[in-house]
Amino acid sequence: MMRPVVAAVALEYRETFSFVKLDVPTQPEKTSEYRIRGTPTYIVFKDGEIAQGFAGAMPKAALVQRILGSLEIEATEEKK
Amino acid sequence: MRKITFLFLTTCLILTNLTVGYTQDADIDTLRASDVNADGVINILDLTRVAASIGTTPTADQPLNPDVNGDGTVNILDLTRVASHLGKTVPPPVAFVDANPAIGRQIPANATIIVIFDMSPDNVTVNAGVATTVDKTVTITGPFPPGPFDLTIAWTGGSQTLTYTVDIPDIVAPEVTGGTISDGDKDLDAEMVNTNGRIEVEFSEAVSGNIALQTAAGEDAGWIGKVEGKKGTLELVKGREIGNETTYVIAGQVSDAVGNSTDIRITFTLRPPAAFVSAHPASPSQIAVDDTITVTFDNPPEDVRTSIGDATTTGKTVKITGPFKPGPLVLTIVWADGIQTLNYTAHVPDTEAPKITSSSVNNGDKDVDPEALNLPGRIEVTFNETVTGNIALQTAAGTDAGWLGKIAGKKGTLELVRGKELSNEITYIIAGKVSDAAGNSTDLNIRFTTASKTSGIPFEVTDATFNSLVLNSEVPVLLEYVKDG
Repeated sequence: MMRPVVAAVALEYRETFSFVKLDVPTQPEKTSEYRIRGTPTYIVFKDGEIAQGFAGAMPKAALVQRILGSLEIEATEEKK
Repeated sequence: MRKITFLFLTTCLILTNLTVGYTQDADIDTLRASDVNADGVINILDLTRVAASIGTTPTADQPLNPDVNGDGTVNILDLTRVASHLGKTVPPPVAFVDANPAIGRQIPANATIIVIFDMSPDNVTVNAGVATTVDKTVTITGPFPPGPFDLTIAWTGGSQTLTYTVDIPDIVAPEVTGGTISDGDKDLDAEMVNTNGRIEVEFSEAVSGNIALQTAAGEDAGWIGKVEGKKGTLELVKGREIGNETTYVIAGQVSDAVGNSTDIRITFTLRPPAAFVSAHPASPSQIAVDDTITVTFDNPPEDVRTSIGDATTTGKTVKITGPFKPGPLVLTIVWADGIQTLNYTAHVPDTEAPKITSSSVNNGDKDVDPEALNLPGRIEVTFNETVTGNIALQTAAGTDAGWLGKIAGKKGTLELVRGKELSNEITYIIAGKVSDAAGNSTDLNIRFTTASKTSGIPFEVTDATFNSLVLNSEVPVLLEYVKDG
């Protein structure tokens, strides 16, 4: 499951981004608007724009790299 | 002087010889006075005794008094008086012989006193009563005045005083002075009266008459009544025990020896039998060791005793107080009219308030993942005993968070109402109050704070909040599309 991995990353980088979730079955409008096909699907928004989108399970390091990469931020040694 | 006296005496003798036999009808007192030497004959000896005393002044009570005319001086007049009766005989005085009752005795007011003389007395008079003379006997009948009494009987030639004590007449009716039962006695124990089998009534004096035990309606209760001496008795006849009625009367009439009578009416009531009505707490049931058991009767019970505890009777109620021994308790109540057994189980009283043994969240918890509570949609608080009461989820400001609170058994539950999910960074309070069966209560105050949305716990957005929370966010946002929360 990705939730613990994502939660850990979100906690680790809580000063960098906020972590929200949207329930697909109950929120059809924003689900269809962003053409969501499955779960979990992740979208990184920056300044109201999509910075990155990805789906499926992945290791923490890969997740961090994707998120921070989309935000053009380098991962610190500490947080690695 | 002596010569004169002698001449006078001589003259008197001559005169006496001439007049003897013609003056017997003289006054007897005069004759008796003239018979100075009291020998029954008035003769020269009497003249001589007067002549020898001429010039003296004898007292009236002096025996053989020569002052014949009673003028205080013995002189020629006394000689003349004796001389005028010379030759006459003087009958001896009638003398008192005896009295019955004897002098000094106590006699009733209406007594008859018989006085005997040596001869038939004449002109009998008495100072009290009525005197009837037959030959030598005088019968004097009362009434006589009560107290010390001097009866003076006088007759020709004498008098006699008889001293008696006259009884004060009995005009007092006999009185009831005591007995087994007093007039007005209430709540007597019928069994005790029947067991005794005898009712006594005591009187102030010896009486005769009748006595009976009756009902209030005047019907004979069947006991045998007897009056003897100073006592009246009623004796139970087997099969006629009292108890069917409430009120009974000892009735009758008694009289003393002189006929003074008294109606007897001694009314008494019997105590109605007491029957068990109820007990509180009811039997069988559980009680605390220091509980008070209240037993109610239909009438005030008598002689209440209990197998355990202390019994206090007030009217129709008996309160039995412990402390009782923990465990099974068999309480037997015995009273004058019956017996009752009550069964309880005594336990040590519960004075401890309910305690929380576990909870979905604990007081003081921080960074609580709201989803961890929202997803199961249920918060549970478990107590150490069965409780009743209320439970609610509130914000720190006291606003109800909208979860449904319920207390059942040892558990309090808060159930999520859709749309009322917990939010991040909010302090919530699980509030309420629960009580155990003994009434010990506990206030609920479990404060917890949910984690901030940046704490690694995703904050839920909806279609409606999407733009403000995601697109308009000042910081980058990682959005996770999830299914089923």
